[in-house]
Amino acid sequence: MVVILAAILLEAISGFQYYYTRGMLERNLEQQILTGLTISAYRMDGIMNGAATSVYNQVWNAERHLDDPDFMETLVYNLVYNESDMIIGAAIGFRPYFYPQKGYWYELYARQWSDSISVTQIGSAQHDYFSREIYQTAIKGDTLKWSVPYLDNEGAKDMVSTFALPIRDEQGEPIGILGVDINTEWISETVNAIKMHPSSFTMVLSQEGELIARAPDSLCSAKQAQKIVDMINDSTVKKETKINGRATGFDFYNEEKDRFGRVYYSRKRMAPQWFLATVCYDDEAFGELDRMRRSTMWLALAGLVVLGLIIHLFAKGRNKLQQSQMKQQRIDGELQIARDIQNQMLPRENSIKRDDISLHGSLTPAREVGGDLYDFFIRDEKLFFCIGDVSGKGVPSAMLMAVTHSLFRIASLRENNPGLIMQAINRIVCQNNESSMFVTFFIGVLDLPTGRLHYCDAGHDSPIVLKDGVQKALTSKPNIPLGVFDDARYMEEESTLEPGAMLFLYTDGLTEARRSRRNFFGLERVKATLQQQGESPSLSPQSLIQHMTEEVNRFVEGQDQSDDLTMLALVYTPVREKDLLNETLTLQNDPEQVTLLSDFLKGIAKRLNMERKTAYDTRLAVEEAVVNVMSYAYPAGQVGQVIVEAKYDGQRLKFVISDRGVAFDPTRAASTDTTLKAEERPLGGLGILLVRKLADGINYERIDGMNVLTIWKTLNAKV
Amino acid sequence: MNCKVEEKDGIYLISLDGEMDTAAAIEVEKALKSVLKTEEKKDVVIDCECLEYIASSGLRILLAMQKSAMAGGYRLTLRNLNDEIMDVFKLTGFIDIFEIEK
Repeated sequence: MVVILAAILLEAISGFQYYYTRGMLERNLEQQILTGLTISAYRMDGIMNGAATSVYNQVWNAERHLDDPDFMETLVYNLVYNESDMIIGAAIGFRPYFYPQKGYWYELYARQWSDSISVTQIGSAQHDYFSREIYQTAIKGDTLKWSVPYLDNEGAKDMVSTFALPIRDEQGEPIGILGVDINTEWISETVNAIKMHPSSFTMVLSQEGELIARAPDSLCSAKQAQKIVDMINDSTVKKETKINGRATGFDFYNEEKDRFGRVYYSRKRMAPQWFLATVCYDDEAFGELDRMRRSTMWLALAGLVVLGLIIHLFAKGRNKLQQSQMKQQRIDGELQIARDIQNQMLPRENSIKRDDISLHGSLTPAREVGGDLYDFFIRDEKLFFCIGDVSGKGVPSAMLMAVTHSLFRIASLRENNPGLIMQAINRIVCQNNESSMFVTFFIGVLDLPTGRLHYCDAGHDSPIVLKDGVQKALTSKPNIPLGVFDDARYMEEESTLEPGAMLFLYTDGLTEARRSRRNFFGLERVKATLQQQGESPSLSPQSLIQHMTEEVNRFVEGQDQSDDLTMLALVYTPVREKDLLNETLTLQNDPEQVTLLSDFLKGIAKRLNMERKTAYDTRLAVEEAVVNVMSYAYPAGQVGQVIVEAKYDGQRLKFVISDRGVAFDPTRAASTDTTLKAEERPLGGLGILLVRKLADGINYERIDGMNVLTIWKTLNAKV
Repeated sequence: MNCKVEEKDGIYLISLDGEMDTAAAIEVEKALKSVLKTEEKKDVVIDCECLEYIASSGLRILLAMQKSAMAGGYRLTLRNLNDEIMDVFKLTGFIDIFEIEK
C-alpha cells in the first residue's frame, strides 16, 4: 500500500520535474534559436551588405571607365575574385549598341568555378537580357534588394539571387546594370552553419513569404520545405509568440521522417528583405531530457521495486514476528489457563469439614504448569491421600500428572489397599508411556476411626511423622516408581497415627531447592525446620508449610525455581466419642439368628426414640450388612460368630460388625445396576446396595485378623 | 410372619403379613415353593397390606417370582405396599420391574 502511494508521489514529482525542465529547456532552446537566428541573420546581412557595397563601388568604377568596354571584363572578374566566398557570378550588361563595336548585346558574366573564374559575353539572341526581369528592374534602379532566387541558365547556370544596380552615364541616364549573383546553395550553407541540433535546419524566406533558400537535401526535402513555407504563410496554422514576442513558433510534423518538431522564425527585419526560419526536432531538443526522464523513471521504478521488496520482507518479518508473538501470547494464555485448571484439580482444604483431620497442601510449579501432584479425599471414613512427582517439568509432565491424578481417583473408588491402588495406576501409566516418563508416588489410606495408616511408596521421598517433638520417617520396602514396569508389584505397609500426630509429605523440589549449583536445601534443613516448628504451640498443617516455604525462599535467595515444589501436611485429631449407648449382640453365623438382630435393633430404635422411617432404614441397613458378612466371611458350613456393637455419641448411631472370618471388604463390592430389567437383574447384590443407600456411612478395616465393618446413621445434625 | 396362599377366581392370591426379615424369608420361600406349581399359568397377586418390613432376601424371592411369571407367561401383581417398602423399591429399581397396585 505504502509503496503504491510512494510510487504515485514519485511519479507525480518526477512528472512535474520533467515538464518544468522541459519548459525550461524549451525556453532555453528558443532563446538559443533566437540568438542563432540573429547571429545568422546578422552574418548573412553583413555579407550581403558587403556584396551590395561592392556592387555600389564597382558601379562607380564602371562609370569612370565607360569608354573602355574591355575594362568591364576585369571589373566583373575582380568582383567575383574579391568576393569569391559568396558571389558565384557577376554580370555587367549594357543597353543595345552602347558599345557599337561590341554589337547589339554586350553582357559580360564572370563565373566562379572550382578552380577558376571565367568571363564570357553571354548576351545573344537566345539570351536577350534586356527583356529579363532582373535587367528591367535593375535598370530602373528603384529597388535595391536581392532578387528572389531564380534559375539562371545563361550565366550562373544555378539557382541564384541577384543584386543589381544601374550604371549611369554622365547625364545620369541608365545605360546598363551591374549585378552579382549569390547562389542559394551558399545561402543555405551559410545559414545552416550554426545548428542547434544535428538535424535542425534553417531556411531563408523573403518578407513576402517566398522561399529563398532551403536546407540541404539531407536535412530537408523540397516537399517539406514547401510545406513549412506554406505553414508560415497560412494564417490558420496555430502559432505562438515566443521569447517575449520576438519570435513566432509552431508545431511541425515531418511525415517523411516521422518526427515532430517546431518551427521558429522572426519576421522582423533582420536581413534587408529576408528572414530566417529554424526547425528543431523534439527528439533532439528534448531527446536528452526524455532519455534522462526515462532512465530516471526506470531507476525510480527499480528503486521502488527494491524498496517494495524490502518493505515486503520487513513486513513479512514483522508479520512473522507478530504471528510468533501472537502465538507466544496465545501459548502463554493457554498455559495460564492450564495452570488454573491444575490448581482447580487440587482438593480444597475446606472440602474436609471434620474434627478428626486437618490438611494443608501447597504446590508451586517451576514453570507455568507443573509435574507434581497431591490429592486427598474421604471415603467410608478413610482418608485417601497421595503425593507425587512426574519426572521433568512443564507441559509434558503436567499432562502425565493429570492422568495419574485421575487414575488415583478411579482406582481408589472401590479399593482400599494402597498397594493395589498403586498397581492399578502403574499398569495404565506404563501403557503408551513412550516418552519414558516415570512418576514417584506415595499413597496413604488413613482409617479415621482407628488411626490405622496403610500406605505404599513408589520411589518417593518418605514422609515424616511428627509427634511430641519426635520425628520419624515413614519408611517402606523400596518400590520402583510408576511407569517403569507394567507388572511391578507394590507392597502395602501399615502403621498407626497417634492422636495429635502430624504427617508431612513433600517432593524433591523441596530438598533440591538450590542456592547455587552445589548448595541444596537438603533433608537436614527440612528436618531442622520440622523440629523447630514441632515445638511451636500454634503448630498446624498450614503454619508448618508456611514456615517451610519461608525457609526455602530465604535459602535460595531469589534464584529461579529449578523444580516444582510441593508439600502436604495433615494432622490427626480423633475425637473421643461420647458413649450414650453401648450395646453388643453376638450372633452365630446363621441367617436364622437375624430374628435376634431384629429384636436388638427394634429395642435400640425405641430407646433412642427414632422416627419410623429412620428406624426402618437403620434396621434394614444393619440387617443387610450383617447378613452380607454372614454369607461371605464364613465359607459354607463353617461356624463362626458375628458381633454387632451399637454405639451412640449423641449424633451418630454406629454399628460395628466384626467377625473372625476370611478377609472380606464389603465396601469393595461393585454397585448393582438398578436400571436392568427383570430378566437381566441378578439375584444377588442387593444387600450392599441397600446398606450404602440407607446408611449414612460405611467403613471397613481389617484389624488383628478381624473384619470390622462399621455403618452409621446420623440421628442429630451438629449444632 | 404369615404367608397365606389362596386360589380365588382363577388367580393365586398371596397375603403377606408381618415382617419379612432374612430369617422369615427362608420360611416364606419354603411355603411358596410348595404351594405354587410352576406349570400352572395362573396370575398371581401378592397383597402386602400387612407386610411391615422386607429385607433383601425377601426382595430376591419376589424377583424370582417375577422372573418365573414372565417366563411362564402369567402376571404377577403386588398390592398395597406401604411407604417404607415403596422407598426400598425405588432405591433398588424394583419399582420399574413389578406391577404395583395401590
